[in-house]
Amino acid sequence: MKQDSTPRLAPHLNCRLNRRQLLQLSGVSALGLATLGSGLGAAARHSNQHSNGEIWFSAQGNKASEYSLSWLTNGAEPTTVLSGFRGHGAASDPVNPHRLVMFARRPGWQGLVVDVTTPDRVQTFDAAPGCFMHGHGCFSADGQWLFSTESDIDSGIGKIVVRNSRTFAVEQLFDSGGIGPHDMALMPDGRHLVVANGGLLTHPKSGRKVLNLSSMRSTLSYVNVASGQLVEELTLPYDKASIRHLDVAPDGTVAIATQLQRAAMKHEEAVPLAALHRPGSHELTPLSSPEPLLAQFNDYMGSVRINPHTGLAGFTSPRGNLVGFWDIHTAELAGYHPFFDVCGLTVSADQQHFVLSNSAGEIRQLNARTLQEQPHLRQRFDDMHWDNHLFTISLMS
Amino acid sequence: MREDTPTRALQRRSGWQQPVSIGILALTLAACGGTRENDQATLSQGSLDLAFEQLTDATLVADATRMATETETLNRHINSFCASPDAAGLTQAQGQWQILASAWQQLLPYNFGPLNDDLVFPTFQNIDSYRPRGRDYTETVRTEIDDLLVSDDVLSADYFASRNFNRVGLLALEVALFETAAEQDTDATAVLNEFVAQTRKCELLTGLGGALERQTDKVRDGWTVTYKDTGKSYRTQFLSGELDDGSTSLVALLTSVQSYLDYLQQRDVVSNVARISASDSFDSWTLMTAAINSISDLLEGTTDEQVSLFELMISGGNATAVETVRANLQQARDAIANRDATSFNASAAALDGNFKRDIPDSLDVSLGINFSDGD
Repeated sequence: MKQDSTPRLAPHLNCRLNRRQLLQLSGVSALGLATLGSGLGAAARHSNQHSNGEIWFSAQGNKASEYSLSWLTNGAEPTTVLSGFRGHGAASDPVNPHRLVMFARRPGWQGLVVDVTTPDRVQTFDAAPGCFMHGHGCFSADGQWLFSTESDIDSGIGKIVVRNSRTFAVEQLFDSGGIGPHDMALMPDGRHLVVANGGLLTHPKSGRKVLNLSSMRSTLSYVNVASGQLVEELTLPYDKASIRHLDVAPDGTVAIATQLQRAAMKHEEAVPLAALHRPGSHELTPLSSPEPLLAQFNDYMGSVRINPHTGLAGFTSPRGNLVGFWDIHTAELAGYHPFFDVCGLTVSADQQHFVLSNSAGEIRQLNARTLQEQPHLRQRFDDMHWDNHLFTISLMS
Repeated sequence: MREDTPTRALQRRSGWQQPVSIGILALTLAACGGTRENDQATLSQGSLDLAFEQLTDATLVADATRMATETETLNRHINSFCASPDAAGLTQAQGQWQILASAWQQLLPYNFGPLNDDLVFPTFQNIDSYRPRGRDYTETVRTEIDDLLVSDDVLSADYFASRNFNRVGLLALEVALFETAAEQDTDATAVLNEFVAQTRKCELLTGLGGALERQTDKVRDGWTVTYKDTGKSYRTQFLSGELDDGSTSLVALLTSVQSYLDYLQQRDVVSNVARISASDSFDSWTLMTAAINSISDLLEGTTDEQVSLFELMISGGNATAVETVRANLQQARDAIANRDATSFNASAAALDGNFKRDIPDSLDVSLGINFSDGD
């Protein structure tokens, strides 16, 4: 299903509204309100009556009629909520973790809001006026605000859109600190967002085509959530590496995963695709590996996830059909695991396992310390096509 | 879980493929008896399994076996030449290297399983140092040979087993067989004279040949005897869909060929290989012919009795896709005939696209949504 390339709201509305206008603007579409209890949500399958325990959730689906947000509760049969759009990243409300938000894949126009305890009731919200989504977002520490990465359609400037997490009204827009903001996370201090600005300029009318390969500039930016001020910006020494995804450790160490724009490079040398930003440092530390292994990643990393318990960070590569792991304290390669079309990566609630997913509906678990796969924990859901990212929440009764 | 149908039930029992459309399954094999025109369209587990088994044996196992056989032949010629170096022996060894290099390009599109058996130190890179990153290690090999000719190192099997991948394999043998170490002179008389003058060069040549034979034997045995100490051949695992990384066998096959075609054009292989060994009857275009023929055989089948991938695609109502791929294969052949590298690389790119989209779509195979259309 192709996305309509024009914004849903009136054409005169754009990202350059003043604050008063923004506060008056409701981001919850009439369509979104009207879908409560009907349409998308009502198509939830295998509605799981067990709302307690560990949930792994992901965008899912291989074709338009199947695009959805799906989750496994305690590893049981999946629950699926049709979305009507291909999702990408997702987030859970830290105060009410059973409330999930999924963002549309770039160039995206909607977000989906689902409560796992009542999957038949859903909400949707639209991209900010004059903007399109990049597929990622997160909540504020108190759960009151929802942040999403978007771009101004006309100017191409990256934005952080701030929404009221109850009404989904757009309250504010900040510059993301770069072009093509993709993944984003709240820092442990709760006052800053770290943003992966991919540096790739795209326009909805030209789909996912990159329009600025020769001049691309990817940055890792830190933005104050209260003021929107850019407080720090870092770049990699390889200018054609697009910083796409990230994760944050409890001590504030940020792990980033990149995708190389090889077509714009003048050499064929293998380039590190992962890096760390340690608190207090003003540079990114590339994560190296033997060149034959690095070459296997095919210039492409998908998801990244840090295990706080073991200090190992995993990086998936669906184009390399493998996941690699590095120690975030020593920056040394710790191991790797081949897995066809792997992309989704999360940490189990007890932090004892890395959990992997692929588009064939498979789930694998690796011991988070030894990185040995636990084959007896393999699962396969024939009708599932897990998409790029996987997340964990833990629900208490 | 979706409602089970006979088609889907067969897919699950097959193990080697993703769900295939009903149209493809309405197909009979000539191997079941009678001529193709008289056969009734039937659907059977045996038919599907047999088709994939035929493809595996006729192309994948056959090419791996041939690679090992031609390497053994090369080493016989090397041993014979080194026992009494003369012009005829050198010509024979050089000619066999050329045959071997062609056999390699026939096998290389199927770079999975025993060939690509390790993420960090895969076997294929010990055979072909150009394949991993398109990096030309000719100077590295020349330096290595120069050093070895004057060193006291014992050129044993263990010695060569410990060498880095960029100092052994087909390239190292090409440099040793086709040019002098002293001047990089490719004149056959000069090469022969150097072998006569320096017996250590024959030791080196023998050692390199033996090292390559260990690799090609490993690949053949992996396909036919046992793979990674599993006690099962890779052929068995491949046909039953028991692949370590969770991919299906057909996906592994299609993505491997796609990756090879991407490699051909991205690394401009035709312009960068077999330069030292080029002669009146052999050069990089010979190798490209071998590669295109191998891929064509995979798709068309090699005998009338074999049910081919193209026949499966046509049975599924995708004759147009088949004609598209055939046209691109012909363009590649035309480019080879015209020795046009630009056109050949464009054809390889087109075929790369066919293996990413037209062929898997026609076979109703998913290459993975993250692989084909990621973030």
